[in-house]
Amino acid sequence: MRVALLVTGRTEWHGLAIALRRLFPGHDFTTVPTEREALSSPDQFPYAGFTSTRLTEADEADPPESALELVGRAAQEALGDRRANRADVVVVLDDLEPANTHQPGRVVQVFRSAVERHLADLQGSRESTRRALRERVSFHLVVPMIEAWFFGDPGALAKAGVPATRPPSLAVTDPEAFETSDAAYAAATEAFCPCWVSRGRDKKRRPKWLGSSSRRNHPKAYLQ
Amino acid sequence: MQGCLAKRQRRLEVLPATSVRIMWDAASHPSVTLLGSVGSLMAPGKKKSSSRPRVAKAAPAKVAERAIPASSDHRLTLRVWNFRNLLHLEWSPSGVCLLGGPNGSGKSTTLDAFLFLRVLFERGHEAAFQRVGARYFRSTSVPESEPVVFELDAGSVRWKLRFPMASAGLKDTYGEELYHQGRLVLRAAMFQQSWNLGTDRLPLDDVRCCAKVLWDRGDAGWMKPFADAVGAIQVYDSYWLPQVERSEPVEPRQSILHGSGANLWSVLSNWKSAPIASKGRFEWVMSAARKAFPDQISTIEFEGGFPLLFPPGASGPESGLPPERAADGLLTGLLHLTAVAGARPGSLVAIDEMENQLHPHAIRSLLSSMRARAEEDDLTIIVTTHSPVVMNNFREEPEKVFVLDRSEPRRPVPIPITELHSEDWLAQAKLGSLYERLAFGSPPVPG
Repeated sequence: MRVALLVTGRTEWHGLAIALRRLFPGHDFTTVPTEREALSSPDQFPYAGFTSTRLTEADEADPPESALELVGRAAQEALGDRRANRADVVVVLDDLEPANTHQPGRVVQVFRSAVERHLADLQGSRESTRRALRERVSFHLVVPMIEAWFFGDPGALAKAGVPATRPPSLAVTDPEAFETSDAAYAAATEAFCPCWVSRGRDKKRRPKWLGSSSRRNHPKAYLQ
Repeated sequence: MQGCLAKRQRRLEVLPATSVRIMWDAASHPSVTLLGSVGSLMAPGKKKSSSRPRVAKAAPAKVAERAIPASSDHRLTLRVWNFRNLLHLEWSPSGVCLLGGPNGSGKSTTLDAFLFLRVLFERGHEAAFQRVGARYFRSTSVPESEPVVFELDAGSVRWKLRFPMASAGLKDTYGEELYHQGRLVLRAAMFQQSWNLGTDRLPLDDVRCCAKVLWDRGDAGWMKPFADAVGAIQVYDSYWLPQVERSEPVEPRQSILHGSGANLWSVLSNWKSAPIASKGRFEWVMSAARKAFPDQISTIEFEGGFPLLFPPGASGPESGLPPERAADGLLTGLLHLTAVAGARPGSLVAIDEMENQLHPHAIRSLLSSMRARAEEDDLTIIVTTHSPVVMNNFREEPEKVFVLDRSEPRRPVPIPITELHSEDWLAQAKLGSLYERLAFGSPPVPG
């Protein structure tokens, strides 16, 4: 079975297909976007997620462009083409980021609206696309986000090279319930953040995945 | 340039049919009926092999085919072999077409092929080589023994040219054939100093190609659709904005925009002063320009022969601006519109990288106006581009998008995008997004 993993995070893009191949060696896992797309556009991959900022009722009526792009790409993977075999299963994977942890239902509804909007915009291929989406595409919210599991393993940070003098305080039951009192972390500037550094010298910029969250409460930030 | 300027001599050299030099393997170009045609022309009594395409006997010494063909189709089909980076191109564009592909894939070269043929027909091969450049005219990936070949079909006429090229330019006289309704009418072989018209052998003209010589005789009326179509080809590959920005007095009698755009103001002025004779072209340009540049232009006045551009809400003559104060994008938009407005009905206009200097709104608006004009006047408009904005504008017409795709080396380019990808698949995303993510027309990025 050919499984296309349409992901919105770099961790998933780099590691998920490899991990799943180990678990299910009889199946073919590919990551979308493709490696050549990532090589050509290293600053703009993978696909942007749509859960980093708090979604509202307005987003259900008018889904964000990033959700529409995910739907369109998922449909292409499911339909296949002369130059690309269709996937048997397309897994769309987005984190339920802290800004929306309280409303997973709304996030799903926004994605559903994006599907309906996408289909409405199609003409001749509407039914074949609807069929492909229904039969082969699924949408998943990762809760807690994959990076959070680094904190679920007490040894993970050390393995990742974080000095033992900078431990975060982790909640016992939920690795995503993250808060740190680490002064060095709180004081971190762009000099510590490859993400910011790679985006130029504008100190006001934030990593886009941080959304409206506080950096102190975001487990991804600690991995920078 | 020396190599390209080999002149056709006036020597009349009668050679036996068996000594005609054909240095090119016609079998590798299956659409060509060369051998049968040559046989019928050079050795009319000789029995032809039944395995060869059967070609009717060529016209006798007097050009017998004087009747105007029933078809008035001006649509052009261009075939090219070995021209620069185009090893094999075959294309019949119609309507507003987008030609895409990575850098170096041959977009501008395709436009140069159209331009070369027009200039060759109108002004001869020296002018044509001067216009597009003769050095490295032949693809570097084919041996020097292979000529550069062009075929242009218009209506019932096929014009075929073979150029023996060295890296520095043309080696000797070029070959030329003209077919009407599949029958060979004239033939000049490469390296020969004479040509055959029917059973007559004539000396080559110093300047004009044989097809032009025949057309200029005035007794080959069936060539009119062909001559009209070739003569009306307009290619705009590089506007010369510094010249356009100069305030110079307009000149009379100019109604077609030069390839450089340098006579923009003269053309617009002449159209404006003769609205009926110019069929409202000036007002069409202004109407489309107002939509594309709503805050930039209302009208253009020619004060003492000098152009002044008036923005919306201009209160008086002092509000007019000379061209050097106009935005480059506005000037480019006016050039595009003037190029299209000046095209003869049924003709071909090509614009290289039309998006340069233009805001996305202006691009969309100009394309919309061009489409309307193309529909009205049965124009073929080719735009080459790397712009996702331009590409997005073809989402509803993917069949008009052509890609210089080299992934199938045996296949002639350009390939319609609807043959690279299914229409269902294409409909899922904007074409510009697909182009950005290398789904078509991409360089060979590994991965």
